[in-house]
Amino acid sequence: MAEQAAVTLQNVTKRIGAKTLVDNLSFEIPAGEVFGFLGPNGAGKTTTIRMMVGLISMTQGKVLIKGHDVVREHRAALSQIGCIVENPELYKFLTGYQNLLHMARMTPGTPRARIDAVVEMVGLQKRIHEKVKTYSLGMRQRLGLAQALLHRPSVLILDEPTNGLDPAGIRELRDMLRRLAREEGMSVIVSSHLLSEMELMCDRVAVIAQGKLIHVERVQDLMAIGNEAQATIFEVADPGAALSHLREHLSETFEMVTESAKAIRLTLTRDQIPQVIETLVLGKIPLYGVQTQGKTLEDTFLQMTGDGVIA
Amino acid sequence: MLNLIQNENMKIYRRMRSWILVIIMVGIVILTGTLMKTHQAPIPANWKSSLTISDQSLKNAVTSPNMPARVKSTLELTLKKNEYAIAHNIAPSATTAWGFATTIEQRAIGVLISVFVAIVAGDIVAGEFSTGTIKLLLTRPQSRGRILLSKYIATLLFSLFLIAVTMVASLVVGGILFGFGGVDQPYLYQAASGAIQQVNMVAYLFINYGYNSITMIMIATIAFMISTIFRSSAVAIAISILSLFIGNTLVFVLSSYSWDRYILFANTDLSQYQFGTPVLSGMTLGFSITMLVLYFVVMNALSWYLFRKRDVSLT
Repeated sequence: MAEQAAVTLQNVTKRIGAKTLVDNLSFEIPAGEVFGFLGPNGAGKTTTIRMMVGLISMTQGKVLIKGHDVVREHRAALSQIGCIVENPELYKFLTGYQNLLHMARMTPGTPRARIDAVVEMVGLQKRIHEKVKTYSLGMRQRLGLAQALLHRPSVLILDEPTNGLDPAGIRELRDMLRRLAREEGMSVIVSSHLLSEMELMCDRVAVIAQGKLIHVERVQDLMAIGNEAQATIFEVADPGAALSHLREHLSETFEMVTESAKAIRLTLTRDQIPQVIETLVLGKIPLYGVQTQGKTLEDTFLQMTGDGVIA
Repeated sequence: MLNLIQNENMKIYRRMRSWILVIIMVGIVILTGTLMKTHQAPIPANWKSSLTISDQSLKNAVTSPNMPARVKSTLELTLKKNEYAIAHNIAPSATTAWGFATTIEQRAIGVLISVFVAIVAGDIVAGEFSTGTIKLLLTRPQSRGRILLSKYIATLLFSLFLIAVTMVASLVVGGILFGFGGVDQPYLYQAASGAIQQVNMVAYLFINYGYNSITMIMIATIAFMISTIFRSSAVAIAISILSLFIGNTLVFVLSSYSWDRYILFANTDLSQYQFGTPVLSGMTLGFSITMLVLYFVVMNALSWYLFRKRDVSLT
């Protein structure tokens, strides 16, 4: 790879006692990509993020941020990262502005003008001089994002960023993240268990379950996997007759999913659909409609992570 | 580093709690002053003769066979001081601002400052953990050691601030109620040799505050260490205040053991070497200073090591 990756994880492992929380995780994230970190609760997403930002130690492996080792070159690596780990915890007894001032002082070379710029970016101008304890969860999310962007990081790490945001807020956040990635070349890492959001927000998704990396794929490709076998609904007058006819005349075996009063539902690959239609039509069975249900990312995800069972 | 200390200061002084502590402190000073003013006994004109009369009854009490040893020694001390006053022609004077400030420091506020400092010191690290804001601090390009140091310095600065407020408040209140006269007034004390000696009251006030701040720094360090180890403000504040109150009793109770002198609280009050006799015989100023430095270094090293090393847990 000619260009250096913004974030590199190499065999990152976290063990506490006999329990392995994160198991040998390796992947790279290029600049300008929105990267989704997907997994059910307890999969190790937050643990991994905590290791990436140096909050907890690694049992093994290393994390490089723009080539800087998070452990050995802590300051150089951390000055490239803006993050919200879990909830945006802020000092409630301070105003929003004082919170940002506090964070600006912790990163050398952050001018005061930058504070005003990020306040405007997240749309908090009107309430910034009020105490954070008067803020709604959505406003705290915005302030959290403002402090993460304060020092112009090249990597933005957000753990469950859509928690507490209303639909308009989620949309706004999505647009902002995409814009930051596209215009400023920022790498954005977003963790979530809300898959529908990941579909819209991310370029690439890593699926992890029980601490292991199961899949890293472009979002479109991931959804294509789901299209291999899909539920297909055939609207017929007499489902019983239709099914028995299909059983008799169709050479290939297929999986019958459900049968209702007015339709049968089969799990078929794309190639099998014309065959079934043909068989039904030749058998003079009235066919009122055919509908395919493409698998969502969610279906694929649940399938991959073992239906969300927490180990 | 200055930026970090500035941050910690902002978090202390932008908080209502710190100001409530200051207000309580000033309130107590005013209350004590008013009470002392209203209960002031007048000084007799012929003080030498009235002192001699009270000395006579003191002597009778001391010679009484069923007088407990501890009371006896206190009475003997008063007797000695009276005799010294008569011999050196030092009239018992009315309370002045300086005397008032000294009384305030010795009787009530001295301990209270340490309690208040323990509250702030016990919360300054643990508080960040309980609110989750520690993640904001530790994910910035600053080393953990520097963050901890800035918190420690801010704690000590707050103690200094409390001391200054108390001193100024007690001098102002004392001055208004009793006047600023009597700068040359002496304070009498019994030195380790047993002889009565005198020191200027104003000097005594400052020296006393100096000694008290050593105790306060040690209490702050205990609270700070426990705050870092247990990450619980309540535990840190409770243990440090408890040790402040039972520390001396503990030393007294365990005085029959030879290792008693190695307990921190046997050594925190250095004024025992200047204005009295050591709590445990055979202890020297050098020994106590060595012990204090040792405790100071060990406690801070422990906080530092744990704060740098430990994972910010998965809560």
